[in-house]
Amino acid sequence: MQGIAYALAGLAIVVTGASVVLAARLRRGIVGGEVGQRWGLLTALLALFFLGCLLSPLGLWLQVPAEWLHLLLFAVLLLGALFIFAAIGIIRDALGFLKLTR
Amino acid sequence: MDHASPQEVALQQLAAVPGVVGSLIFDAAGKVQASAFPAVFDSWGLAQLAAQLAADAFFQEWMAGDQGLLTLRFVDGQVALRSLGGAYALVFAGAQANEQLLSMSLAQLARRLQARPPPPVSPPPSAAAEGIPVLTPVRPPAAVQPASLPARPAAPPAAAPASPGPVGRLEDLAREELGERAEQALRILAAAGPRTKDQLRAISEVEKLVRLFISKRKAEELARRMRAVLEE
Repeated sequence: MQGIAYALAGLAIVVTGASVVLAARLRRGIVGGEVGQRWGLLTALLALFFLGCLLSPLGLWLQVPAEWLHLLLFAVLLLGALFIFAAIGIIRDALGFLKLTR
Repeated sequence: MDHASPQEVALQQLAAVPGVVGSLIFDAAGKVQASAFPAVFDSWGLAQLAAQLAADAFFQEWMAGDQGLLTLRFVDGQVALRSLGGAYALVFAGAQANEQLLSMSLAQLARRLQARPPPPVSPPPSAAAEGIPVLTPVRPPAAVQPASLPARPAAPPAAAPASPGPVGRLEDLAREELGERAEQALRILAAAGPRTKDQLRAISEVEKLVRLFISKRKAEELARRMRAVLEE
């Protein structure tokens, strides 16, 4: 069971790491404005998310007390929720500007 | 920069049009008055080109009047020429450049330059010392005889300047504020109707575009200046 958990954590680390790189590259291409600000926030959240993904299996490996692991888990979930909130804002603004909303 | 001639300023603004590689203005005698080409372009060659075009009878016939326009399309680029009433503007752009946008920008340049008093044919000697590029063909063709050129409508006198329309001024503002990022804003302005209501709506859209993707501060400033133009 623990092997599956480590495999999932490894996969999460790879995907999140790639996302951090992509977001940082795109950040350099965005001129600014509200979308630029939000993209900066998204990139920072992604970096924290990546850190959380790195620490989770490490905590399991080091047998960190369960309450600390739970705290880490919920913090990562909160970051994910904030990330989605910011992403929806960007998509809403872009669709609104392009007049693609009903 | 403070000493740039009106032609040079106009060419610099033209350079902000996406796809434009370089541009120059030459007079009826084939003498280059202002140039905004990258350094890789041989200035002597450009001066030769201007002299040959000005000396060409077909070119003169085609470009007669203030509205003369000639576009030459190539596989990897295009050249647009516009009559400025006694002078010509030449623009070299990449093949991907928007032809309509280029044509509109040239028309705007023509309006702006024709609204000013015609510049002297020969710039003062101090101009070169001030860094203003003055290109002169080394070997002007013998066929160039400005005095014998067919009567060409002169530029309007300074006392009655042809003021560009509000959309043209809005486009100028967009170029001035946004530089090379003005393309989308120019499209929005170009698509606006002639009514003030349509133009105000276009200004709001440009403001939103700039606020979302470029800068909130710049959006407010640009919209304020654009609305002031419409209120005049």
